[in-house]
Amino acid sequence: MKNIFIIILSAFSLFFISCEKQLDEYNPSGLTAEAVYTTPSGFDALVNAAYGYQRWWYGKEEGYNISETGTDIWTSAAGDVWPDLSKYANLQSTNTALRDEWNALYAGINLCNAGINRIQDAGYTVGLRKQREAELKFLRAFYYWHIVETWGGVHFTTEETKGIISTANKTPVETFYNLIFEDLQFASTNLANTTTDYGRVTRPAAMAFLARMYLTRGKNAEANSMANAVINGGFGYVLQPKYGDLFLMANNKSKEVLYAVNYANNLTLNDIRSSTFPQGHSRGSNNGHLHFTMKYDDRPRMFRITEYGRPFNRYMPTRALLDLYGPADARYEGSFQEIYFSCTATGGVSRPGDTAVIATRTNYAGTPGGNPGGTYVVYNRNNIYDAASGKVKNTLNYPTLTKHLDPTRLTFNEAQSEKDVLLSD
Amino acid sequence: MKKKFLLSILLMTAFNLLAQNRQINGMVIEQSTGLGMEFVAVSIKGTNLGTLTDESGKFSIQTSQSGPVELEFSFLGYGTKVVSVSGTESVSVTLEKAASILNEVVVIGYGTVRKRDLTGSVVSIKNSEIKAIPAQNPLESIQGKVAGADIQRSNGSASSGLSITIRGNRSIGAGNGPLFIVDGVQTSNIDDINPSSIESIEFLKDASATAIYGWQGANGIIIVTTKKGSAGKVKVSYSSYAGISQVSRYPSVLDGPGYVAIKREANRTVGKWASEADDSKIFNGLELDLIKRNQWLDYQKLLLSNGLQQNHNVGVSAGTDKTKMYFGLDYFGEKGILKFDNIKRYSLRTNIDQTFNSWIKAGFQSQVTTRDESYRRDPLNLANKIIPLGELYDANGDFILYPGGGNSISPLADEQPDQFSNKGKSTSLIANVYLELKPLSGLTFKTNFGANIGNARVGSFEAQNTISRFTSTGSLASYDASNSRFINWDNVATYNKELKDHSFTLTALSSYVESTADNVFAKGEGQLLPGQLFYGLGNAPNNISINSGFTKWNVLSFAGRLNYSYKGKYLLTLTDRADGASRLAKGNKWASFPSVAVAWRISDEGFLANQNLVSDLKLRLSYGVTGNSGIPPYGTQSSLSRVPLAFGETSFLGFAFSPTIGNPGAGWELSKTQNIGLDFGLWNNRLTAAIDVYDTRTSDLLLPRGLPATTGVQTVYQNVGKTRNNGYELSLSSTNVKTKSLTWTSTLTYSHNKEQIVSLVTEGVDDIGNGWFVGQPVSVFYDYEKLGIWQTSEADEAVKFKQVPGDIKVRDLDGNGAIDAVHDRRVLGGVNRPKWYGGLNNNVSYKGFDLGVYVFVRWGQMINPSFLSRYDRQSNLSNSGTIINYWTPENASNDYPRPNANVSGSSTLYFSTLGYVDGSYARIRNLSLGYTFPNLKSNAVKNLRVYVNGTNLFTWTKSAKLKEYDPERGGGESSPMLKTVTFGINLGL
Repeated sequence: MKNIFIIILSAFSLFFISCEKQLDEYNPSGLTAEAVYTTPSGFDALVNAAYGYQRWWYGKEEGYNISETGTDIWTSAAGDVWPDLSKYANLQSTNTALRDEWNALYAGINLCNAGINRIQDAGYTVGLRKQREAELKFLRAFYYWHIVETWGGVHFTTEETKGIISTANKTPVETFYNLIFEDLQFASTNLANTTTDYGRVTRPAAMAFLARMYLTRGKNAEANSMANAVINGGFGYVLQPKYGDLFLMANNKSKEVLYAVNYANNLTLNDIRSSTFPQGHSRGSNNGHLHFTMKYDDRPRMFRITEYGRPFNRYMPTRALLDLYGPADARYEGSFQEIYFSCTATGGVSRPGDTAVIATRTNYAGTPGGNPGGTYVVYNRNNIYDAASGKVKNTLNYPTLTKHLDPTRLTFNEAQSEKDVLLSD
Repeated sequence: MKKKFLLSILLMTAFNLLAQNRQINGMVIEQSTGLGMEFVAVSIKGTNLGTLTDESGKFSIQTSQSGPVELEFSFLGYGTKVVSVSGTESVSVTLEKAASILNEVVVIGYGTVRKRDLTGSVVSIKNSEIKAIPAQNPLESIQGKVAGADIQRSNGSASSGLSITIRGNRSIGAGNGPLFIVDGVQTSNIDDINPSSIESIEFLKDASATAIYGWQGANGIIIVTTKKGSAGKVKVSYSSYAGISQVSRYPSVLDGPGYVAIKREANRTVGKWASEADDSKIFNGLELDLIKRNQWLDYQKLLLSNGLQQNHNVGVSAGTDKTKMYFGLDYFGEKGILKFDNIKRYSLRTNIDQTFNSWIKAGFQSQVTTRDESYRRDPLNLANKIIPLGELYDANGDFILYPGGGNSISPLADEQPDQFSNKGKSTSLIANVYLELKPLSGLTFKTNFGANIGNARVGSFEAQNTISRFTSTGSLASYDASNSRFINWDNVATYNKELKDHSFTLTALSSYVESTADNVFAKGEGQLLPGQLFYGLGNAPNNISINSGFTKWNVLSFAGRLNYSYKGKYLLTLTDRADGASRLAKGNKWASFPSVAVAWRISDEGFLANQNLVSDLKLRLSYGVTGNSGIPPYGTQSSLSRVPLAFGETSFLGFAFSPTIGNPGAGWELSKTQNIGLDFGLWNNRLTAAIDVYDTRTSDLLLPRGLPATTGVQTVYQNVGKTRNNGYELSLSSTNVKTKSLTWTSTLTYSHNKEQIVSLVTEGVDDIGNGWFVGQPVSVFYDYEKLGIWQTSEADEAVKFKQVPGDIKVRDLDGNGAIDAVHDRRVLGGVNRPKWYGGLNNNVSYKGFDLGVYVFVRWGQMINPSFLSRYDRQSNLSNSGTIINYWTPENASNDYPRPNANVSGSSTLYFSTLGYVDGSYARIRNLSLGYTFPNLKSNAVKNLRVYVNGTNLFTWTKSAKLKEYDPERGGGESSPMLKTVTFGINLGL
């Protein structure tokens, strides 16, 4: 009996001794940088992902709020969720729009740094290596430009983060621009002239951006020659005949576009936060169509329809902006909508020509009896803005910026739009 | 003494003929003290005659009966003793503490111990207490009955779980849930264990008790032991209850006229509305018509209905000397208060124990549970927000999707045919087999192999016109399936030895646990036929996405324990355990968790021998270290995550760094706990109490430490920071009245815990970004301090802060004349942890009737319920709550700012300050009335009890603002909490 017991005991202890090795972790569904970024196709995935951070700024409320409002041309409308940012009212570093962009831009920088420093291990051919390195350098310059223009001389590094780093540095603005020029010169030399991957950066796009950087830094002669190099480089760019046509959904990928942030019609290829992409944006895809639209759908004889958009009524133009366009400027009509026709609950404009709402920069006061379908509401410049000071009086009804609208969204409340964000056109 | 007794019986027999109206005198002596016992009930069996003993233990009783009579002596905790008396002689009876509470066996880690020998802080709850409150989850039945265990129901939905923390929150990043052990097998929750099949639940609280579980001991251990069969006749029990539930308290929102009034005011503020003539400027045509007809909808009423609960349970216990078995079959069904919110749970338990011979025993315990669940996407949030003007059906009788011509879909949209389905099916098996060998006297070897195997799937379909999808395009169907397997193998050797006054128990064990899980998730949009639900994903044309995953972790452990007792009075427990966890970094995987505890049974000392007051007194002291490795598996590795990306319309693979970076140095989080406990019993344990004072200091917190975003990553699990939890607990049980027909018992528990962060990444420095503050609990409210609303008379002062009358006024903490987030926010006075909580349970039984009243109190916590901030200042998109007493020039409210058509809530400064409120409450958690049929003549039915039970019927809140809110929720409003009335029957055959 005792023998049996001893045998059993030793059997168990043997089992546990062999178990020791089992404490090593097995993680087949996880991926590590060492495994992925050391093959050409794996490294391609790094480069592709590096483009993804542009979507945090372009087509997103955070980006519009930081780059458009708080200027003399755009201000808060009633639905603005970050008036602190738009009006500099109690603006703190805790502002979530600033925090999210700060996080996304530096995550992009870290990935670009990692790529640029690891590319020699990717196993690329010489030609492809230059192309990919140029793409990463363009993106790094692009992200650093956003950082330095938004926050000034903040943290700067060209190294990948490895291990726990708990400090940041302050770096002169000059250092940022030195790197931006260096990277863009590399990019505008080594990138391919064209690409079949719409949204991937090309040589003329890098050159155009470099021209803009020269202009920003007051290097006007260099800017001039670089811009001319793009215009005369035989890259095949053509302007749209009508200004407003550039923003039609049908012209999303027109010949006028040098560089765009691409959003796909297949929304799963975009950036909405989900179980499979927890780092995504809570709204996803292009949301520009939501923010600039006036509150039209609660007006008499009006309903929310896809064509007019889902009015978040976040931002409105200042009177100064509206007055920058001369009375005959086609760009005003190409950019702003003043007239809303009546529509029905089932969607669609019920009677084109049956005006329901007018929000205009002019002094138009309405034509009594001139509207056979009934009366319409008019908001003219003095209803919207204080006649003397130009200060905003009405934050709900104003001329609507239409260039971001997407009437091809399948339902009127769909927040995600496939509209590409044109960065250089 | 026995001899004397026999002699007296003989003598009595001789005299019995003389007895007519005879008087029997006698005395009752307590065995251990040798003193007379007071209040012992003495009765003559078969009659109504009875009396009690006096303070010296004496009694006298009269009877007309001649011949031998049987005297029955009974006293709580001493059982009943029957003595036959033939004459009138004096009877002397000695009562011995029956298998008293102190000799009850309590389950501890990897063994059992008599309650009198416990050195740790352990609370044992028996089946009768669990069954007293009908509930789906056994923990819900014992809320407030265990000092130190803070149990809260997460919400009122049928499939909702419970949250439980023992002695506060120690950990910030590594989890605070206790470990559950069911018949020796670890499990993450006990939702599936049917309450009727539970024999006992033990709560292990201090380090002496939990250190034997080392790596998971820090958050306390809950051990569930299921019923075993018993030898003898087959016993069958049947129990059943059915009940009706309703929303207990729910905050109302403005009705049609209330909404119209607030919208008019919002527009009056901006000069757009002056009288009803201006209504057309602010309402659309449809709305104007609805206002004229006073047509509005009460969506809460339309959505909520009565819920139903029912449970049926059959238990069979049978066995012989060698084979014992228990079978239990259980069904629980609940239909929630919302349509599509329901659950059905079926479970089957089989427990068998077989003794082979004098030294081999084996057995197994198992439970299979299968669930059918349906989850409703919460419609109440929308119902509370949507503008109430509207109609359900149009002139053709068709359902109106957008009531009032508004922009928001109807909260009832999901209830329309073929629009919504979200259903889960799961099956779990929890089973273990054991083999127990006793090869030598005093030596036991037990191997216990357990497994917890589960598979589950959740399928969901939402059509275009549903609450979730109306802002997207097309329907969405998804299917999520998962498999999990958890195994637990323990080998325990125990050796008992008694040498004169010394008694030893040595325990040595090894343990291995391993968890593997995988899952697959698929979704697609825009399928043709809604009727296919989630069963035809292949037919969805758009946005198809698939994912699968795998997780594995394991822990290997060795432990030893010595229990030593000297003369049964001086007790010592020494424990040490070594654990190695896969999820921690190489080189830091192993840690050891020692503990020591001593106890002194003072009541067994000679100097307490000759008194009647103190019947039990024990002092316990313990100190030990327990661990927590609760970071996610692979948490020490840096990984990549997929970034969806397209160029043009073509998908491209993208992989970027995850925001959480690996830490190759991550090791154990350690909690060091000191505990002083005192157990005492007075008046022969009519009053028993346990008092514990503890102090837990947790160090090397596995903190999800925020890194500067400039690194491009955001968090890392690192061993930094310290917390401290100290407090005291009291539980008291007393038998207030005990007579033959009337018994009144009370149980009181009281717990106080102070939770605080001692240090974070840098000594003495707060982490405002994460809301962590040194000296404060882990979760606090950090905000501006609201003073009220700027009044008309304060206009000049308000201007200095760029405010106008009607705006929210907050305190300028630094007094610099401006409000900013850095200098004017602070940790608000209240914290969202209770200052104390406790329960008082009273049970009165009179003849066959029993009445139970259970009061639960949770006091001193601050909450921020969302309904107190449900306020659309513009009132153009949303409705507001009736509680919103908004400021107007005519109504000088200090509660809420003035409606304003030009300013939304999110652009209102300090809007977040509106909702904080003292969440203290007391409630009658349970009220029950039962009747047990006495002296059942039937041979078939052995016992029968019927009862009616009400849970959460009455609630009081300290703050009047909460009079429409169930404060147990602590803030949320989806799936409201319920009050329930059930009728039940317990039958023993």
